[in-house]
Amino acid sequence: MNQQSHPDFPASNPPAGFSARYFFRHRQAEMDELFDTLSCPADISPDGVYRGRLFAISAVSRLPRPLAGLICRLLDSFLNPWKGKSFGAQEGANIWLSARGSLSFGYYHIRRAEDDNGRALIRLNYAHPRTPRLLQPIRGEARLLTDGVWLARMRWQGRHGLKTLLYFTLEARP
Amino acid sequence: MSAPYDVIVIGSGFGGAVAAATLTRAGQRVLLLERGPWRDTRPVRMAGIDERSPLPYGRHFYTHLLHRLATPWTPARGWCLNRRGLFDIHQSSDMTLVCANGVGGGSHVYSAMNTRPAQSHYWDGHVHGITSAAMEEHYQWMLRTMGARAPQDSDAIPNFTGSRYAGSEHFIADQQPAMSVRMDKDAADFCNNSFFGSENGAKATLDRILLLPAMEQGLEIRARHECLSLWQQPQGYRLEVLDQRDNTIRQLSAARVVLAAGTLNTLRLLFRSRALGGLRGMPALGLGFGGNGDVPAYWALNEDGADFSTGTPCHGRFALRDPHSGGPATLPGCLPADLTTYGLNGIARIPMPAFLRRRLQRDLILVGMGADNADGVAEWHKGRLTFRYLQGNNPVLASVYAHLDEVARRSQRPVHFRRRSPLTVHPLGGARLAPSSTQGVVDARGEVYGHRGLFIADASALPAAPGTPPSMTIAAWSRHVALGISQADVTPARQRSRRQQTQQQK
Repeated sequence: MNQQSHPDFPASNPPAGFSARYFFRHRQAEMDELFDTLSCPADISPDGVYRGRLFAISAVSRLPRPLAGLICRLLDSFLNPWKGKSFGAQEGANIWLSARGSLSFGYYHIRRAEDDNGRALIRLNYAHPRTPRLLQPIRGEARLLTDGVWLARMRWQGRHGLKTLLYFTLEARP
Repeated sequence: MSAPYDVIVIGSGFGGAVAAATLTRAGQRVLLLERGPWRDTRPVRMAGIDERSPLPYGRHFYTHLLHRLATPWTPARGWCLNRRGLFDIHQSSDMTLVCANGVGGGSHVYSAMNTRPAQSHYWDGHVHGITSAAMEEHYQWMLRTMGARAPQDSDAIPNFTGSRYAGSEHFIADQQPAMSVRMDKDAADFCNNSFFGSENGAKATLDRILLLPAMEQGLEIRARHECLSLWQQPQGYRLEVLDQRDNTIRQLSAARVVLAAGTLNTLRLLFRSRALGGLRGMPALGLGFGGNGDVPAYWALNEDGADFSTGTPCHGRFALRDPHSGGPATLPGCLPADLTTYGLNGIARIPMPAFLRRRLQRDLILVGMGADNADGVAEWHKGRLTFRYLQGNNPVLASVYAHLDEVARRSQRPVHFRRRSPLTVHPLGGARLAPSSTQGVVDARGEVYGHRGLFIADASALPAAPGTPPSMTIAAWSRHVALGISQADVTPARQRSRRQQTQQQK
């Protein structure tokens, strides 16, 4: 699957001025509302290596915005070994230490699905044989934010349903 | 996400209020977003608006004067000093901009002058379909709506320029503009009504004149809601909005959006949305920026026994008197300059030492103005909005400076103003009207090229500098845009609503 041209999102690279830092001060409830407004065009799928940036983390999101923003900036620095995700046709993996994707850990299946309201999204299911059993309850969900940028969230499948842990953007590398 | 509104209007100044009122009157479901609060004025109190913020008078002067201060040394968005403050100051290397914050926008702080552009053919020749003759009906509508008329000697207005220079050998009263202020010979109406707002409603402000009546017709206004970014979607636009009351970011959507947040904030919103990927294209965004040739000056007249702080919000226009003909004169080799005087209106209610107040009451504010070339450029870099503006390209500024120097020479009193970096309260352009997307941002309907359903209805869309206070010109443009939207009433939500209404009637 390739990230193809789409009439609403014609380019495959992020806009020149795009910065995920814009979302660093957003709270998780605000990101939930934003995520619900996004779409997942049928003819576009993530393909290749994407740079990831974390924010709206459950516990951090309750802190005052400046402090939450500061923590997200720290997580956006070299201190965070997680660099993003790589996507293939049916499966993908998280990439670590280097943004080139040479070290992979945490594999997932990729499939198109729908949320509770019947709206399309891309689901990343960590119930994958190469993923440690402890991490297999993780579910990822992604929708297209803008050209070449996906907004995604990491959720935990518990006994009482799905709980959102954090949000992240995935930016296509030009 | 449902879209319960046909149109969302961003901003409530001369662009936003006129657009929102016009669209509401045309039967559209309109939501108006305003980042500032309702102002605590008598008309707003009487309308039953509970959540109000004071104008900067009395003890509120020092806390509620400034909303945001941005300089090259502050963070990109500047320092937010008080979300309920009245003024924004945005200092860039080439120009300093001042704008207002609150429901009613600039109408709280304007000089109540209702003027047409200096050039009678201002609207001609920019794009096909817009002419000065066609726009005249909008100017007439605005004059009627604001209840504006030119002051007369018989109105007994203190410090009225029309009377003041009758016997002067140096200056002469020019043609006086229509003013939208009560002139019923009530002394209370002739003070505290200018730059810091009009608490008793003597000055016509847009919250009283347009917005409160439109609310009775269905207009919904959300004060203290700041639009942070715009995102184009297949069915219209998503707006990311900060609700300042609980500091929460919300998502709103509508098929149509009218952007009228004032030049500074409209440009900031367009640039930021494009940088984030919410909007695209707009290759000419930022071009055609100008300051309307504004040159505010301080005329240290120190006239014995005078109290210039009373009168209409501006005292009126004057000109240099030609010593030979006795009529108004333009200095040789200069372009015409519009000269207006103001007292330090409102100073009676600003806490300060009495001797200082008495001294300031004897001085005047002098504003020179002229149509500049509006050839500056607004730029966006790493979240910071900057303005490039070359004074050398705008000879009208040198002409205004020369006229101000001549005023100082003739009056034998100093006139202080900034020569190096202009200060404007009338920024315009940057998203200008033009025949193509390579020359400007909006077309003859005010719609942004390549962005169906996104309209700009404030001074940022003006194609040139009016050279006079632009409030009426902004209002005329906004009404033109709003009538165009209501006439092309094809939104799916509205079609559905009309179908339902028809079925119910059957």
